[in-house]
Amino acid sequence: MNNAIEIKNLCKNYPAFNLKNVNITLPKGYIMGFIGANGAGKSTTISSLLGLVNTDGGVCLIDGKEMRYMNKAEKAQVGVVLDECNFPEVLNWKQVDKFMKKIYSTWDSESFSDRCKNWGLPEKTIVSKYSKGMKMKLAIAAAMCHGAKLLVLDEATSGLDPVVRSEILDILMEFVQNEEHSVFISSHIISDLEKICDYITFIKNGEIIFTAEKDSLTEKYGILRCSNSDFEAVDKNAVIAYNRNSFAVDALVDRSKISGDYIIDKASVEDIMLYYMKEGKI
Amino acid sequence: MTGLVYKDLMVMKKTLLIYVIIGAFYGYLDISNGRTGMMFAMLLITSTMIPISAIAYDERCKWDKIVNTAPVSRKEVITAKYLLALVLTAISAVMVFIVYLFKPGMTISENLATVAVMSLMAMVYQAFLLPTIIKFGSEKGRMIMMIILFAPIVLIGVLAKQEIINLSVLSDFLESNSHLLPYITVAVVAVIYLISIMVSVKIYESKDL
Repeated sequence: MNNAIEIKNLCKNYPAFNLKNVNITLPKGYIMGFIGANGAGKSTTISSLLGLVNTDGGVCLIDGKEMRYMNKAEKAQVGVVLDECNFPEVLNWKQVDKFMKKIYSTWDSESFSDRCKNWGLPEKTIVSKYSKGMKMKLAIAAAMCHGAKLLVLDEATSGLDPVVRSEILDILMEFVQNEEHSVFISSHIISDLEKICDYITFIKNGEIIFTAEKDSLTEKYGILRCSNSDFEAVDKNAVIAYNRNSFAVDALVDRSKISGDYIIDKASVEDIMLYYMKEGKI
Repeated sequence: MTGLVYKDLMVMKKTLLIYVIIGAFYGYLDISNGRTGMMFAMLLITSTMIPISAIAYDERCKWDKIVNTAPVSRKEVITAKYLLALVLTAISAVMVFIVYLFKPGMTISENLATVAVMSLMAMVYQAFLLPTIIKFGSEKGRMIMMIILFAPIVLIGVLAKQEIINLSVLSDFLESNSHLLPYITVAVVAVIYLISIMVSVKIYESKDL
C-alpha cells in the first residue's frame, strides 16, 4: 500500500533560503503535524508537495504519484487549505458552490451547504466581510467536499481564536476516523498539533531535524533539571540543548543515554522544538 | 474549464455591468456624432480590461495556488483566461452591433464588417497583453504593456520614414489581393492568438505559484 505522503530528498533553492534533502513519510490513516519557526521551510515544502513550485531535486508523492502527473480523479482526492481563504472576496459561499461544482466532478453541494450552514457562515455575506475564522471554515468546508482522502493544511489554524481552533481540530480528528483518510498539517501553534497528531515532523532552516511518532518523541526525550556541578557529570552525547543560569541547568536530553539518578521531567513537543531552536546547543 | 470562466464572470459581474452602461452612453455619443471611435474604445476596454482585472482579483486572493491543486491543469487555467477574453469580445461585439443598428446610413453588412474588424483588433491586443500580464503580474504588466504596444508602431513608423523598410510592398500586395484580405486578416489574427496562448501556457507552467 502506498503512503499518503512520501517526500524523498526534496531540494529547493531560493537566493536566500534552501530546502535541503527533505524526507517525510506519512502512512495512510494518520495525522502528521509539520512544525517549525516562521521561514523554516514549511510552506515551501507544502508548495513542492502540491506541485505549485518547481523543485531542484527529489520527489514528492501523494498516494504514490506526483501531484502534477495526477489525473482529475486523483487530484480531487487531495483537499488543500492554505493560510488564507483563496476564494474571490466578492463572492458568497453560494456562489463558491456554483463554480466549484463545475470544477470538481466529485463536488458534493449538499455536504458543502450543510457544513457552511452548520458552521454559521451567512449565505449572502461576501467573503471579504467574513472574519478570519469564517474564512478558514469556508476553505476547510471546500477542501472536504470533493471526496478528499488527504487533507493538506498550511497554517490553517494560525490567527484563529482558541474556540475556532479547537473546532477545526475536532473536524480533522473526525476526518481521520476513516482509515483511508490522512491529514498533513503545518502550524507553529504546537499545542494544537500535540492534541491531534500521530506523527510530528520538525523543520529548521530548510532541514528536517526529526520526523517521528509523537509518542516515541515524548518517550525518547526528557528535561533534565540539575545543578551546574551535577550537569558537568552528565554524558554530553545525551544532551541536545540546555539552559544554564547561575544556580541550575535544565536540558533536553535523550533519556536512553542518561545513566544515574537524575530528575527527568516529561518533555512536550513544544519543549522539544524550543530546545532544538536554542542557541545553547552542544 | 467552463467552471473557471464562469467564476471569472461571476467575480466581474458588477464591473461588466458598469462597462455595459458606459458602453450604452458611448453608443449614444457615436450615433449622435456619426462616428465609430467611442464604441471601438468601449469594445477594446471591456474585452481586455476585464480579463486583466480578473487576473488582478486572482492575484489578490492567491487563487492560483488553490486552483492548481484542483482537478485542472495549468494549461486549462490559462486557456480559460483566453476564453474569458473571447466571451467578453463576443459580448462587446454584440453590443456594438446593436448600437450600430440605430446608426443612420449604416447597412447591416457594413455594421458586421466594422464589428468584425474591431473584434479582430481587440484579439490582437489581448494576444500581446495576456502573456505580459501572466509573466509580470497585473501591476507591472500594465506598464510594460504600454511600452510593448507602442514600440512596434513607433519602430515601423521610424523605419518606414528612413526608407529602411518599404511598406508599399506590403500595401501593393494587399491591394492586388484585396478579395483575400478578410481571410488573410482572420488567419493572421488566429495564428497570433494561438501563439499567444502557447506562450502564456509556457510562462505559467514554469512559474512558481
